[in-house]
Amino acid sequence: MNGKMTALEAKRLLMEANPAWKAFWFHNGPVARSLKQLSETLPKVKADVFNHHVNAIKNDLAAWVRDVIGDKQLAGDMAKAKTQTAAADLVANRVAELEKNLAAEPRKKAAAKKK
Amino acid sequence: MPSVCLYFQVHQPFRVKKYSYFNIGHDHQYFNGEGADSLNNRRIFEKVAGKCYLPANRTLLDMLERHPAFRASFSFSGVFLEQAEHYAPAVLESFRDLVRTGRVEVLGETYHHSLSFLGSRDEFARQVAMQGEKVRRLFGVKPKVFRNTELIYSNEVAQLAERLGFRGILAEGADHILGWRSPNFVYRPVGTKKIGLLLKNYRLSDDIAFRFSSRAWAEWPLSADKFASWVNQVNGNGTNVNLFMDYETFGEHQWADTGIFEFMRHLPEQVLKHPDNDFATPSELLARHRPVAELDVPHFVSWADVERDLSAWRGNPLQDDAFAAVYRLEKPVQESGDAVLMDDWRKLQTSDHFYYMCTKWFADGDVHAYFNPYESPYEAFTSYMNAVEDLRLRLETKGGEHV
Repeated sequence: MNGKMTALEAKRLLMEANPAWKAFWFHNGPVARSLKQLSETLPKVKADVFNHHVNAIKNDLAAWVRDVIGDKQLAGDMAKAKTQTAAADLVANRVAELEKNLAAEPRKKAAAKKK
Repeated sequence: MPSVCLYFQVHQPFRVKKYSYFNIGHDHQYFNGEGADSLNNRRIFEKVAGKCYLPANRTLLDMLERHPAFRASFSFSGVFLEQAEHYAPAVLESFRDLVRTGRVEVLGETYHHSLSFLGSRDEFARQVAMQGEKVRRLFGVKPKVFRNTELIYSNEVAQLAERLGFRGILAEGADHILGWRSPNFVYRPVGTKKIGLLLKNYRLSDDIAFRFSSRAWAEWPLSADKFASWVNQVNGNGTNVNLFMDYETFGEHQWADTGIFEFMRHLPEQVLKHPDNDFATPSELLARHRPVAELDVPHFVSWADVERDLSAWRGNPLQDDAFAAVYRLEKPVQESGDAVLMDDWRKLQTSDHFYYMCTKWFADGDVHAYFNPYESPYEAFTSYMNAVEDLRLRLETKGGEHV
């Protein structure tokens, strides 16, 4: 992840609950309103549901991450992911990275205060 | 809170009888099939009236009387209404009873259930006006929401519907136009300012329309409370659940002994058990909810077959030839000013004629065979083209010039 991202931005990408109409609507399945929710849901959806959204013609997941979440870096990576495991891993890694970034923020602030 | 929006399409075509080459030139009655065959329009209408229209309308009226919150909507093709007037006035009266409750909305469509948007925009506008006038005359209401034949839809259809004065339009919630979006919201068609777009939730609609009686379906048997629990899942994730289907689902596609009428009868009380649920007509939905986003549909979608495209009617050379042949007659028919010729020409535009010529025999083969009254698509094509040729000759005789 780029080191310049602010905690606010990381928090937005990670957890912002989008309005219902901007949620990712899995075909015949659950909805995900944030990247965090997507990371929890994506590994659990059935293979045919994943293939419904990610196939030779389209990649709805990459489009949603780009257009709604606004994470172009992750969207670019997801556009290349052709399997459910690969896509779920990418989202999980991104979420872990953002959470790490967020967790580090208070420590950074405390260190700055000490100085 | 999701509002359940029920919309039923009510249509019966004037099927072309077996019309051979030897009929051309002396038999101008294309739609008067007789006897016990499946091209006898009166016989079919009376059969469907007994199995579907009358019992389904009784069920719906009962639902409306028992549940003040219950709503439904219909669109009637003009050719259906004509047949109802001639073959079964009791059917028409029972639909009037529903509309008189004030909780049943009547939508606009093309009078002849035609593909005229694809063949002639002028003719399309004329048929929409004709249907509106017929609805006004028979039901005393003016359609405010439009549904095109077979839910054929694109940005352009919505734009023209807006220009014709409609405030809403229905379309299939096809996967390829939705992507990650949900069909359970109101959208705005690209290039429009006022018209709202309501999308069919095809999974829940097809659970009733197609899967209801399928014992191979994991959810069989479908009860009203189970279905209501699926509606409840939309709570918080959508404002509306649009259930669009052919009215013949009730009693004709799904026979009475499948329990379809009992399912419908109990649906309102099960849906309304959840305090956040209700029912709404299309106009009520559009009044309550502003569009959440624009939806761009540059290419045609429909509600037919797995492809949700035009291939059910415009998918092979037979269909393309027939389609071109009938719309080639537009100018001479209009110039003739002859009401009888005009009426025959318009009845030949009904989409069912082209559907019967479909040669897709894969995933949707069973569906096509079920709906096809001819022995083969080629027989449908032959009868149709012979009738069109006879019409062409009548125009030539009338106008005195080569058509």
